[in-house]
Amino acid sequence: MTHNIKRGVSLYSYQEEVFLGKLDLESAIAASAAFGANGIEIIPEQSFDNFPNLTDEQVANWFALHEKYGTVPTAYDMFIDLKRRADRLMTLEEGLESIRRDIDLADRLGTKVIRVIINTPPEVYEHAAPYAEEKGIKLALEIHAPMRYDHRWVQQFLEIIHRVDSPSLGLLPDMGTFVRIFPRVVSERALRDGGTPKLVDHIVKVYNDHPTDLQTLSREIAWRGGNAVDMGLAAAATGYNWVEPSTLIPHMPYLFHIQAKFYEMVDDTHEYSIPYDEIIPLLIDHGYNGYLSSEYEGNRHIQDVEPVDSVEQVRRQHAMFVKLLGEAD
Amino acid sequence: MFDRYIIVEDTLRNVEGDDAVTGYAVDTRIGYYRGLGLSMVDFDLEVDGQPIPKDRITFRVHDTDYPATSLGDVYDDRWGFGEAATLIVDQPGGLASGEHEVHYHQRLRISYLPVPSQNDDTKVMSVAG
Repeated sequence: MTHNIKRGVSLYSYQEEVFLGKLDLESAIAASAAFGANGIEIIPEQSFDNFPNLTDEQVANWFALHEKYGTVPTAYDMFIDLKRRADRLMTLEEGLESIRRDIDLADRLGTKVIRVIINTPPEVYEHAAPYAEEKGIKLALEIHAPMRYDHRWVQQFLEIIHRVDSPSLGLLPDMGTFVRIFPRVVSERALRDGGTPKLVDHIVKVYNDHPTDLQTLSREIAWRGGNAVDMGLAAAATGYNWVEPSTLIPHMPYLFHIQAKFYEMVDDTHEYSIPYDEIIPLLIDHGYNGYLSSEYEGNRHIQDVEPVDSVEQVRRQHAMFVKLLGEAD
Repeated sequence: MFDRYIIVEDTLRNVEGDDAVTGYAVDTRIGYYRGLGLSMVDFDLEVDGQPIPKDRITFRVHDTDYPATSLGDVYDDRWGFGEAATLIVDQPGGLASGEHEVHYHQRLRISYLPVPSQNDDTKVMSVAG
């Protein structure tokens, strides 16, 4: 079946190596281009120490890198520091100022999609729409685990998207809402940190058997005498979730971009937790035509026992995408 | 997520003033995948098991000094991702030469999390004699 799904990567994926100074903006883009991850998603607050005061020279360099490696800017991951002050939350006006700053920067960086973080107040999202439209920028609300599409917090945004009907308002699904098997890199780390083997196994089993029913897991682990690591893992488990990929179907017209979250590419064909072999055919069938933007998040779970190789992990995910997207044919 | 890296290896050293050792310093990094405004950063420092009072610590980032007690009021500067910030402790004479255990506890007020993100690192480092 023909499709127009494109491949890309969020520079979030390389955070370990960038943090440690082993990769920089150029080497990260070059590495991605080498395996065809040509759409580059950026977290400006990570890539530019002088954020938000980007110089024209930095912006020119950003475009020069894309020219050099044959890549294109895709998405801009924004944050909204509602708790910037300890004594009160941002006001609506301050929130709008923050998101307008991001719209302006996205415009300068050529990223047509802004990842709107899930804690953004719905009223800020709605009121930002006219300015985003004027600049030709799409505001894509991130649906991130453990949120579900039918959750009341998300429903507020869906109501706005449907009512306002602006070309600038839509969604950005994070594939971390489709974690069907609990990531073993997470449970194995808990064991190394002193988790109780039978309780760690129990948490994994409860997640795998009942991923939508985790409300009582922490209590259960406490009653079984869980230590701090066990309790931490039980709490962490509630931060993952699994919903059927078909949940995406009614939202297809509003999907601007996808963050292809993953924790561990076992080989070139298989992510341990997330069934991309079910998700990608569904996206093709229903006409999704944006990017699959890799978001590797395994580094923090393995950095205590092995050197993190984020580039290799992303490369494997793209080898899998190539097959599932039929590019090899 | 970056706990193990938030104290920068082998950076504990004494600091000299005009004609005497005025204290000691250690480099730290933010335990987060992006930079953050300084008003959202808070920390505690312990050396050899002793908590160091905040009013004796200066936080230095890209050559700008802030009293550790007033970081919460700084709205116009940020601590960059992976950027080293130096904690300078006022202690005439500095630390004795030899090994010292440094414990650093960091609290980041991240707006999408229900409670501050907490990071901890302990490293034993040597101060040259």
